[in-house]
Amino acid sequence: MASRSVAAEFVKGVWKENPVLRLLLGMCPVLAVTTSVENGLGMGLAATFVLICSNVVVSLLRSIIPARMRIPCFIVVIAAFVTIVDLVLQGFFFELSKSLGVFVPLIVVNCIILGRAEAFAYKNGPFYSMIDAMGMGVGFTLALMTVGTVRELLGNGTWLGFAVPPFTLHPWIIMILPPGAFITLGLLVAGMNWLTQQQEAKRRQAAREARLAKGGTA
Amino acid sequence: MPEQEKQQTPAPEPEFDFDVAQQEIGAALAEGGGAQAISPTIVIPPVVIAAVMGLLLALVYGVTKEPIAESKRLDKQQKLAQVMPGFDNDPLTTEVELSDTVLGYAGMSGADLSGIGMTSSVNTGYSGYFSIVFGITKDNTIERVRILESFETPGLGSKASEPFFIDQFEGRPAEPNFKVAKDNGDIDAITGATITSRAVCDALNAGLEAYQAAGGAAALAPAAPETTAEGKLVNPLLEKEAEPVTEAETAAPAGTVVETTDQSAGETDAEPADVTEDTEESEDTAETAEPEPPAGEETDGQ
Repeated sequence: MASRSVAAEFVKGVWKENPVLRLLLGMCPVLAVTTSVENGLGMGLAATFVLICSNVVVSLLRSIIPARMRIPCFIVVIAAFVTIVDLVLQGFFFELSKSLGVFVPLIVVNCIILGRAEAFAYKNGPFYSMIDAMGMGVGFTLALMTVGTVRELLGNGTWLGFAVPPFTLHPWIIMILPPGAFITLGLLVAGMNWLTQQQEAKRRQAAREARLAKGGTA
Repeated sequence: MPEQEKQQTPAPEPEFDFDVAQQEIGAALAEGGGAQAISPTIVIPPVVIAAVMGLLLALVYGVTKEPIAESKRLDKQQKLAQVMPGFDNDPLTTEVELSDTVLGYAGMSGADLSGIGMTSSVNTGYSGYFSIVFGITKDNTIERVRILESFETPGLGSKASEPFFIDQFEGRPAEPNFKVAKDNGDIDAITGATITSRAVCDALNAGLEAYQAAGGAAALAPAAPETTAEGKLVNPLLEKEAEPVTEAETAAPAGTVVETTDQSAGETDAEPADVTEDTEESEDTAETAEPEPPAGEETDGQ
């Protein structure tokens, strides 16, 4: 946490520490929910909301939560917020709650939320915890939507429900089925690793050239 | 191989010794870890957090309870309106339980029965519970089917609500013999979601079976003849039981009759009211004879 700017904390969750593609957290919803972009978006937003609430509350309570009892405390806080979200959705946004269906209760087992409570909120103030939660939430949502896009396009020939012509001809059912989720996620993580390696190599190359230019040894 | 066995057999002994483990734990606790574990500073915060969160949940539950029930009711009403042929009453007020999993609703157009709405649930969905709502027309065909509540896989089983699948039930005879093509039926299953497709058929069959077992549309219509007919069936049974129950029981269906007929037609109004009085008065005497004439009259009307 060298550079502690708000923007850096936010962007970290979206790219460098993307919970799904870099930290490999929250795999269960990523694999299960992403049969369509819409589901991914809904799950992402619901999880983001819970993540922000739980991060802020955990951060506020961090001085009174004893270190050895922190996990039960986190779980209680998270479970309470998930239930609140579920009840509020059912009561006031019935259509949305029906399309999200069983995924809302599943947020409680999303390890990103517990992970952020443990790794960030427990050690940082409420404001930065909120920014961290927002970044992580957006990163999670984008990852879900990316996997959802690939699966919905190839498996169903649509994107957000709209037919996309070349893909409608021959949808691959397997992409909608669980194997499609593993294949897509595996390729995406591999692609992300490759990109990071490329960047890293470029950075090293640049650093070496800079040293050489100064007259140092390679 | 024997060598391996020799190596393996002595291994488990030192692996776990209960007494040793207990002593170790005891020692560890005595060292100070134990004292800390029971100290109030470690117990109170979680208890307080749990209590506060519990209160918060109770509050949210209280606030959302009514809206949730209301939105579920509205959803059911809306879905019933989609599946039932033209009606102008509130079918939810005519609910009749046909079996544990099947509910029937009558659609009235004026004083006439315009069609039947039913909900049916099964536990054979891919994620268990699965309920549908469907309508039956006067000429005993399926008007329409809709999914009421399901937890099927999004993108696969959830496609059951899409027209390409759910519309194929429309206009078919209301007989409990729906089967997917895989089971030698003529319903095209959803690709990759045969179990869900079967669940829709199961729910439909269960609903239709209960409907037929109850005696078809006649058993559902809330109009005077049906309830008096029901009363006719119920009363002899109740006569064997305690008397005060009879009074309450006969009064209840009669009350609903008056209510529903009030909305529809003034003409029939008088009759059920009479019937009500009659049955109430003639508890001890032969009741079965009394409701019969109006029952006959009105079924003719339909």
